[in-house]
Amino acid sequence: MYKAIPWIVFVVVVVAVVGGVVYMAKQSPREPRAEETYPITVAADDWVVGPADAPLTLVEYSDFQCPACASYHPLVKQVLAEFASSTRFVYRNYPLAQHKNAKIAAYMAGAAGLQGKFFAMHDLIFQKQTEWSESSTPETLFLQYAQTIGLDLNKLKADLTSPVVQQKVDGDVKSGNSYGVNSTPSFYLNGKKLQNPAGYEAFKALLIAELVRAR
Amino acid sequence: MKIPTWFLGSSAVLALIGFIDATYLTVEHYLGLVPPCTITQGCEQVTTSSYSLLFGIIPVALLGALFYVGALALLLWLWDRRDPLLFKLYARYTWLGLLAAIYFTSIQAFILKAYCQYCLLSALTSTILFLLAQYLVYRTPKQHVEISADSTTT
Repeated sequence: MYKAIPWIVFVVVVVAVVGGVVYMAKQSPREPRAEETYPITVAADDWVVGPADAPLTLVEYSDFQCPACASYHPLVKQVLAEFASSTRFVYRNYPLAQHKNAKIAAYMAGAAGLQGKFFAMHDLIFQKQTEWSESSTPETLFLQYAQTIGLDLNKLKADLTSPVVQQKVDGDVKSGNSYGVNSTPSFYLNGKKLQNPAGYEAFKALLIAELVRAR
Repeated sequence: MKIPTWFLGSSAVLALIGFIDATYLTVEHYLGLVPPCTITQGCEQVTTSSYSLLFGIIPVALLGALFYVGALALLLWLWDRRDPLLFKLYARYTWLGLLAAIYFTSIQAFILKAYCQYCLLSALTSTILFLLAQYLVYRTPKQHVEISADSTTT
């Protein structure tokens, strides 16, 4: 029985350290990181869902090949479903250099957008991320997805290389850089850069807080 | 196997320091705060970078804290029973800390070009833990580590 004493001490020490650190950190009268606000305006060529006069505008700079972005995808959908009438959501591209297939995914979604199905394609691309991420022929897979949502594949292929589609992606990256995007996903709520919320409840809380503030 | 008390004591102290440090970074992360930087300048940049999160959601500081708890548990176990195989396990375990130290310090130096003093402290403690363990491996005569069938060699 006495053999257990060192282990009990060990557990007590670990718990004490964690408790002590939490206590001290909370006591510390520091300001939380200042919220950076940017004058983000929604443009005519943006991919938007939600009412134009909504009190909340949520902009996401995202990379289709980034795993974190894929994990935020269902979260965003859930939040948008719940706050549908008060939120306008804007998706902007920010493909990271280390993701080889990110740009083509972005062009695909943009091309699908020219046929009025941007978000349907965007959803499929995120849902099937693990399928195409490391593929050396992602385009083939994307065309398969496109077929399931009734897109005109020939037009899609042609639009992949259209300057309209490609310049939109480049333009998104440029605007992202001017708004301090340095990782994906980056969320801006009414221009304020968010610390990526830890889960649904946290996300919801941010939106509610902004709704109250913007009233 | 002979495991000197100075080894266990100093390793435990280092692991405890590392644990407190990593716990502090983890707690700060979850509180949405940035640890104050007094020695280096890049604390905010480093701790809010995408490299500070695994899969975009798990703070690496939490993994560090768990690493140190594991180290402390192994050291306590070694204090309890001086088992050569257990020591071998511990010596190998410290490699995790070394590799993490190299990886995260490199990211600060070459990619972010910013340093977080708390992160550097953890890199230091895990590196010294590694060095101490390897030193003891080096100093331990082979026959104490391997299960020797020939009893006349002792």
